[in-house]
Amino acid sequence: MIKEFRFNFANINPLKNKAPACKIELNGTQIFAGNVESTIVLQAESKQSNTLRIHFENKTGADTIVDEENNIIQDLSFELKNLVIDNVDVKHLIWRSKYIADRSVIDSCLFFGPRGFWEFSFDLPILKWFLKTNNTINKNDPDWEKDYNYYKEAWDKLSKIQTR
Amino acid sequence: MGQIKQDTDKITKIAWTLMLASAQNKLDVPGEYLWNIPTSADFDEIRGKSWGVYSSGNCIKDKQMIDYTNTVNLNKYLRDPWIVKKYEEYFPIWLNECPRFNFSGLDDFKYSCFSQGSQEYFLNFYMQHREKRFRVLKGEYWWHMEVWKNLGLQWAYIEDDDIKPNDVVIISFPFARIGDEHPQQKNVIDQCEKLGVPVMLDFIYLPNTTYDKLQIDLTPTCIESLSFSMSKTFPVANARVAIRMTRKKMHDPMQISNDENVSNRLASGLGFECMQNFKIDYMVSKYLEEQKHWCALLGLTPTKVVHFAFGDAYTQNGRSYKKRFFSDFNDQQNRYNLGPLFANKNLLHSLGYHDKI
Repeated sequence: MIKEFRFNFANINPLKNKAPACKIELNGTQIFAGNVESTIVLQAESKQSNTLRIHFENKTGADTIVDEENNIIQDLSFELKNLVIDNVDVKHLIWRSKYIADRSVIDSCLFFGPRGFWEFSFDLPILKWFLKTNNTINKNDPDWEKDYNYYKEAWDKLSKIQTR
Repeated sequence: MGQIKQDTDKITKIAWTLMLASAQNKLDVPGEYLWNIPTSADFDEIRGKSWGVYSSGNCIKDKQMIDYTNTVNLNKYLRDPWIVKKYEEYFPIWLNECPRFNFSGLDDFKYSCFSQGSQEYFLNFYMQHREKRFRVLKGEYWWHMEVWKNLGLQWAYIEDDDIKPNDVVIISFPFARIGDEHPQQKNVIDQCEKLGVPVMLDFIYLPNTTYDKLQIDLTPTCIESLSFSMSKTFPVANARVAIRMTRKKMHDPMQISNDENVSNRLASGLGFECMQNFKIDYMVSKYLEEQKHWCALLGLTPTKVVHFAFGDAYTQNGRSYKKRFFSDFNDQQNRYNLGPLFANKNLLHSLGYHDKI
């Protein structure tokens, strides 16, 4: 099934002659490669269980510029601000991700500083996964499945009706 | 007779469907349709507002009436210095024409005054009696209590204290929460009559009562004023078309504006047009069978107001997420507004919700 992915990035920090670039993969298949922009929207074939990766590939040691006291004064970097899958903002669950750099794995990291990749796993339907996962973590929404089913049934039925 | 089993699952499905249809512009009559209008079709938005489908007292959005009001040329009334007077004089005639109502003593309420919605009269009533203690039965229109609280006026529920000489009483008839005469109404009026406590009867839901013959006794002299409005009857609520009838001529801001002939002519004109073209019980004649149908289908109990039914609280049974009323004084969660179901008959029929399966 084809789903839409909307990535919103912030604090995109280029150097004088170099912009941060990324490669995005879904389940090991490349779906984007290019410079990081504030919004990137993609359509991609998805499965029931999925792994999304954003690789920060063009970062080198020379892209972090420090002063005499070793303070960073310029750095090729960017941040993932939010992620919308199939029109559902995954909101706080975006933090259930990790950043894998050359020598470390950083949990809940949306900052693309070191060379490496960000990884996020989710299931479809995304809304159902979101509600279930949220309740598993926070235990604050016991009615999620019942209400999800009401919403889905209403949505499915109305999808056959024309807008007035 | 066995107790009716409520089909809460179907009630809930319809609520989700109508709220989502509102967001997707798929209702039978587009526009400002349901209280608690969703701003998007997102799950959270629909979930938080779905129960609002049943929660208002709003009128039935009857397409035929909306189509008619769309044709009314209001500008001519803006230039008509007599329209407010015509509206005021015609209202009691229109009211008396209805064979469902049998008033005793209505002729004693000689003074009619246009009111910009019932709320304008309520505010004038509050000002007139600002030194007294306001009294209502539990389940009364929440707006009173909300305003009294915020203005710092004295008030108490009738159930919480005896009626005393310095009190004034407001009763909606049919009563707001139950859609029928409050069982304590007669007793309360008898007490007020003995004590000389002024009473205002709020008849906002009267046009939609389904009684074949309703006896309305207005002879107790404690009943000083009557409040009528078209807001819960016809889809003109935002035009604020209402009227007050009193035994004595009042001298409050509303009456002064009326005497000065600066009352709202657009609202009066629209109200006059509605009265000229529709009977006061138009909605009852048209929707009584629909009320019976939906109540049988959903396991709700019809009230004596055609667009209301009574059932288990819709704020329970999975409707607890983000549950809130506009006011904490609103405890009408057992009263279901069936108007959105009536008005969306075609949509609900096409989705398989209108008919028994």
